[in-house]
Amino acid sequence: MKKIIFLVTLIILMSGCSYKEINELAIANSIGIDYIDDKYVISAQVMDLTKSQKDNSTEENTILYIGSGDSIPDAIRDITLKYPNTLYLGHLELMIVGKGMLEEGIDKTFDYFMRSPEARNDSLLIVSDEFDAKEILNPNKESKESFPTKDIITTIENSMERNGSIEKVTFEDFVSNYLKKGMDPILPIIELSKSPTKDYKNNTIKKMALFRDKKYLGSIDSDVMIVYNTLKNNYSDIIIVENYKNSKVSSVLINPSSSYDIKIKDNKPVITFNIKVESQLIDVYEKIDLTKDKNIRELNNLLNNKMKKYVNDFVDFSIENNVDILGIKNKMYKHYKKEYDNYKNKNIYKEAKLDINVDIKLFRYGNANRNSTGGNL
Amino acid sequence: MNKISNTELFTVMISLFTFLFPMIGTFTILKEGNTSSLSVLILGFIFSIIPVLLIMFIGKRCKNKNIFQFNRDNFGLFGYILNFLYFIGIIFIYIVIAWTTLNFTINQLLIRNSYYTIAFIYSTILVIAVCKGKEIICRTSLILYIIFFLSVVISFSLLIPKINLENVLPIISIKPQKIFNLALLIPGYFAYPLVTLLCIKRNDIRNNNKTNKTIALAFIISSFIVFMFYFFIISTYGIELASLYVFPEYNLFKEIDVLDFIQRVENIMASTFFISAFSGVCMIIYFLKLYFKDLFKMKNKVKINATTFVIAIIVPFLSIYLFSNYNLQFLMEKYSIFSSIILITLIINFIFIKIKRVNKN
Repeated sequence: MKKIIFLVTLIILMSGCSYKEINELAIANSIGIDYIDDKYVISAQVMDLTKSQKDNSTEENTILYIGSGDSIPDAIRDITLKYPNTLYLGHLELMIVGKGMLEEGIDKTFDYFMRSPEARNDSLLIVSDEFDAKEILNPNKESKESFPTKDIITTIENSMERNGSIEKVTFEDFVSNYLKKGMDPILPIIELSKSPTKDYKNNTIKKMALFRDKKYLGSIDSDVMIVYNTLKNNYSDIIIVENYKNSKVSSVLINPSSSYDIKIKDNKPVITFNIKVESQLIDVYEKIDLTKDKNIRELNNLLNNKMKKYVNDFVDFSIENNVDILGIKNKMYKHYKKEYDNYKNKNIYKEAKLDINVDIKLFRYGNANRNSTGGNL
Repeated sequence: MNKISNTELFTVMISLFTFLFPMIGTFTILKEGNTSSLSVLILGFIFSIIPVLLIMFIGKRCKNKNIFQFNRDNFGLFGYILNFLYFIGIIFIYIVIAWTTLNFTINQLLIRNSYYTIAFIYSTILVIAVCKGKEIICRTSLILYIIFFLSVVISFSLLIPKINLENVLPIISIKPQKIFNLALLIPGYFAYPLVTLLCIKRNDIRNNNKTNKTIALAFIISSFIVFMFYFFIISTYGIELASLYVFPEYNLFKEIDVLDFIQRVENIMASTFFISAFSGVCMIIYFLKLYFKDLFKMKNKVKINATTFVIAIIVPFLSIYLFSNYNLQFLMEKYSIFSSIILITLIINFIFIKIKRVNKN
């Protein structure tokens, strides 16, 4: 009997904490952080549960909650004062930093989200250098998607997997890269194209933002990002278009198995880029006889040369902007700590000898054995 | 009276060796040790051998008596002083562990709840086990150990894909002198709580001739568990992020994600901390219970249990009062220095035994 009384007492006492019904919560999927007129503005996109129930439809609808304050938690509290439901950040999937916040300093967004036990740190982080986050999160009335968060996340994933110009970065990854020695962090940039006549907008994510010494420097070209993602083996397939015999030839790069490293040889750093990718021909406009070994070799060389050009552009970009997005210096710190001290304030790409090895193998030709204009395959 | 087995005791030892790490040890070491934390840990385990050997040595002499009776009977007034010093050391550990456990529970799990309510519930559960005696503590510990072991193995297996070995480098990132100084702190978290085992008479343990071997085995297994936690924390997060967190082990569990299906299991896994701390804290309360029982020569079971309940409740309440009203955060950082009172007492006790030539019987 004593045991039963004890168990019943435990059930009553330990039934949960700060209990709230789900319809009393405003479950935020994404959050926008802006800094406008010396105030922090938080916009939270939440699921409109009441509307879905009323309409008896399965479609997800969203509401945008906006609050402002002298600090991020103050702005979040402002939302709670304006709207009936309690804002819940436990299901956060996306964080957008607006242009004002980018200028004010992205590092000011870190502390609240790192400290708060309720907020998720594994949500994706993106920035906008032209728009406020609240504009981006505002639901699109004419678009088929009424839930911009999912739209944006899918776009980021596709851009990384199929375009090679983007890297998916979580809030936690960014903070970690930000704190690492010898590494300049990057983040995807979201762009907004608005129709001047209709209430229509479209989000595109094609570029990455570059940060150095806690400051936003600018965007990174997609060619540079292709090298970055190839070296990090980040994508599944990306398309490269090249000119061959007055014709456009499209190839897809697949299965990257590249690597990069830094070594000290004769007291001098040597950076090695080993790029290894498979390639498949996917589109040929002119009658090019691909049964000839010479043509295939020429096409393969073209691809290799194009990638080498991209790598050179990548190195030039790193020297010009004095940045290290790959974290070569971080690798140096990890493997050659003593030498790192000599190079920590220098541009490693300028100082080091570069050893670039590009090996793109073109050996797949798709389904067709001839091209549609009559040339042999 | 039922005797306890070495296997049961082994699980209690694992708890005593490990329970202080998730709450204060890891945070302090990672913050100062950088990527050298793993080297600090290895060196610290070597230093921990000294207090463990002292505990083994003294334990062997406590055949028919617990440490309090042993010291009192053999060293008279000095024995009382030694017992008091042990009491001070253990009460300090209890204050620290009570505050950090409550802090963890309220900051991560039961936000916006009263510290006092949680302290009352948690302590009541512990007191029930302690009042039932060491057999119950040990048996419960055995069952909890299986759950602890399973959750640790499952967590580590699921975290393997997240490992980035480069994060562990450079192995030596701080000055050797600092590594040495930090390693000196490790016995405070690792070995000192083991002194509570001295309140169990060796004759109450089955096959007590193997108890020291069990201690050695528990020492090795526990050091491996703690080392693996550090390794996973640093290699998964990188030291920059890992050293930001107050409870890195808890955050480590947040990283578990299998095929986007098994994720957000950190709160289930957090039970590991409570499980690992359960028998450890029970042993601390049991140690304090026996100290008072011996000091005031208590015979009445009801009085003993009431005293146990009061101690178990008062200490967490006191820790809440002290930490919330006075700036005592320095106690956390200087934990190992304050807790070294246990090492000093062990050394004095060892010297007394050697001088008086108290043999194993």
